[in-house]
Amino acid sequence: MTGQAAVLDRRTFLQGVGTALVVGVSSTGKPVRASTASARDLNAFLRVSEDGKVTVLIGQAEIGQGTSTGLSMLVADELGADWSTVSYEFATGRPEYFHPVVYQNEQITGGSVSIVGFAEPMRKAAAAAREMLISAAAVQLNAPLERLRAEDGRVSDRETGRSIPFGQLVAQAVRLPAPSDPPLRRREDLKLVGRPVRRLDARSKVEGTAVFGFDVEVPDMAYAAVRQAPAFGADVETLNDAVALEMPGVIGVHRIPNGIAVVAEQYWQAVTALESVEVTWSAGTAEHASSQKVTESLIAALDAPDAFEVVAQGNARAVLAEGSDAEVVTSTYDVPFLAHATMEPMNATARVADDVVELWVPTQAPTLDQIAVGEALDVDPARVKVHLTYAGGGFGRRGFSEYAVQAALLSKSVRRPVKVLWSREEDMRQDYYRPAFAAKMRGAITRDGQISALSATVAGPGIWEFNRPLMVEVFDGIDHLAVEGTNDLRYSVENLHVSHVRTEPNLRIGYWRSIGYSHNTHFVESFIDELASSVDADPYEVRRRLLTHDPRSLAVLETAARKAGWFGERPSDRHLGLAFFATERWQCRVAQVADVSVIDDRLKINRIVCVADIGQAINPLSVEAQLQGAVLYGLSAALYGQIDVENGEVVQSSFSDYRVLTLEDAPPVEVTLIEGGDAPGSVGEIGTPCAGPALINAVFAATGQRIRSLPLSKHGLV
Amino acid sequence: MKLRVNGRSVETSYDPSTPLLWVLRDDLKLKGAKYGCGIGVCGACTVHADGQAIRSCITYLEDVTDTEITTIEGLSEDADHTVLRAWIDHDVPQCGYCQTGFIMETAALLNETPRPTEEEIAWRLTNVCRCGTYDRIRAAIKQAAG
Repeated sequence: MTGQAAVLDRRTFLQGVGTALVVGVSSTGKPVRASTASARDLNAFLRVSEDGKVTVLIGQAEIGQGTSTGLSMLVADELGADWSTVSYEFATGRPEYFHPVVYQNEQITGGSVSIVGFAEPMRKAAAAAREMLISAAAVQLNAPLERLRAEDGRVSDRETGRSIPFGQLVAQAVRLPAPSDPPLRRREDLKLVGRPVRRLDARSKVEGTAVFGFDVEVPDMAYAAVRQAPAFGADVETLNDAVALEMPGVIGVHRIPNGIAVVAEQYWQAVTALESVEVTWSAGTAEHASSQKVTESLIAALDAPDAFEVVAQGNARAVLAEGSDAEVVTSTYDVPFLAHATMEPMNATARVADDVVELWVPTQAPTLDQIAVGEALDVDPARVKVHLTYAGGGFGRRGFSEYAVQAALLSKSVRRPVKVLWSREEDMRQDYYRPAFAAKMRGAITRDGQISALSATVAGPGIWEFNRPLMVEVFDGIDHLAVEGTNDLRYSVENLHVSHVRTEPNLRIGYWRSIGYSHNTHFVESFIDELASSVDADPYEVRRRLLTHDPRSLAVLETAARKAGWFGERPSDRHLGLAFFATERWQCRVAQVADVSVIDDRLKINRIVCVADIGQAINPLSVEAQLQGAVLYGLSAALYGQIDVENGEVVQSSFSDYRVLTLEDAPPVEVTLIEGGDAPGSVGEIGTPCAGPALINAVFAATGQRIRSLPLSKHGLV
Repeated sequence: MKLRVNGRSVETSYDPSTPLLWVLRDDLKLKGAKYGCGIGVCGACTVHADGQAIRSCITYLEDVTDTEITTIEGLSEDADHTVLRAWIDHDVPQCGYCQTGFIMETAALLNETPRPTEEEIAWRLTNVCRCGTYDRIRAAIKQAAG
């Protein structure tokens, strides 16, 4: 035997690992070098290298929803690329990345419109590049354009069989003028689109090489741990950092907006030193807020005389007042604040030096980061360069820029790049929460199961008002994010009345996966079942009767019910609960059935059946994953999700006290996709709204207990 | 201090009371293990010490100097471990942040219990996935178990 194993010096060890400066994040997991001389940008969305590698340049964030693969498929098919040569990189800083449909002049990923917005512009870009490559080939092959086609990474002459790979054409192609309106291939001529295709980033995520914000490395980088005022609206009053400043590795203790930061050579040094800093906080703006008071005030608000009328269709009030041959039911519901709780806590890395402001952020909104950092540093936002990294979950959380501002301010102060990493506790307590809401639902249903009137009064904060008040002005005072799911029902109810009582937010509030639908579809779908039950009608039939004008909705509803075993004999120990929603906003129709049993007084969810008509699937493998994920996200919230407030401060701190669904309690989610349209609808959020009400309706079927206040865990069954 | 990581010895100047997670990530630049909670609940930081799954966010450097640490980077020669391949076959990851932790835990489980029951899998895999990839995780484990 030879002697001891050699102790490698650090440099040799690290060389094996690879620590190149990451200037861009690629689907391959390999670091993107600053320039690859042989690669040419054909336009804002496409780069082809002389060795034939095709890189799709994507401005939409990859937060798990898989659109980076979907958009790459669209580009690859339109271009005629060989899929094995295709990868993508994230890109920012060009107007082409502004969302063409939903967000004017902003590069933002949110609201499930990445494919909806970018399918066409990116296909057009790919088509333009294709035509340029074909034109270059026409010269090299001395062949007329009509005989040439682009396929499998080559331009081929149909007649002679000669072909040239893209890599050998690109240098000439980039010199040609880009066609302004190139023809798109027919849908049936696309090879990958519509088929189940595995994600381009699966390998790097499985191997651990995909670069998240937490993983960013910048030379000479320092680390920062932060503590922000626990109470909403509070700030630092007094600060004693004497001990911290003497601790190992500490570079400085700094004020940040509504908080403090310790900057150190190593992250753990920053964390340890932060613990020794003594801070007192000023009073917050909602210092007496508590969960109990919030719920009480929401419920009291339901009777407010000055509710804002959102929908007044027919004469709901009259029908509900009379009663006569209809059963009238009134019920009050409430749902709590919810955290996003992304797996990757908030973070950002910034390098501020002389003329440079550079950010690396797992962000859903590069433009908003530019604006916020520009304002904080008093520089033109256009000078702020944002590098988009992978995000370990978004769910609507990562459109706010506080972490980017923190990193930028600290980098400026210490004159080094600074990486700000929030602890899980900070992340849990400094969220932009899904607000707590309450609703008073009233409805009339005839003895034979026809809902003749529906009234919803919703009490809760204006989500748009808190974040983008312009969006409320534009819609004549309606805060759509607060009321969606009540004012856009697919059900044809002759008499419908919806009103919104706007209340104080009490905490920072934001966009939680499916936003207004997350609370309103819960209210509506739970209540429809209450109405059905009041006259012993079948919840499926009651809904079916209200959807006869929309065959695609009927198909989804019927398919879900059938697959769940709704019709015919049911095993006595299995109980089913149904929920349905559809919205123009997302061009979708979704029905879910929760199948539950009660064993030893404990609820067991056997499975969830989820059927969705999403128009067209770009990648059915991806759509299925998103539906499964969104269902479980909603289910987790309905089962356990609860953010409590005491003295204006959030109580929960981590996964230990903000319980979330794990594998043990997660039921199988059986997805059926229906492609009932000719264009792709939105996918990322549509699985969430029905999860809670389907569960609650199943619990009623199983136990006779009608749960009107979430989460389920308050009621002893889980 | 000296550490054994993925079959090699390496020096670190980090304080012995530093959690292993930060030594791996920031000193050794092995970014595969992730920070999710710092209190050993979510499992995103899972690595192996002498083949046993441990949560590196609550394991201190000084406690593992005599063990063989394996991270996702060192799980197999060409990242072709059965579990990784099953994960790719089933297109498991969404955001991907929790996945290496799941894979490390699964690899350790299958090493100890080659054909785990559904109950054993559920009991053992307490890792958190917020994207909800549990359906495909189950399918991948089934395939990897063979």
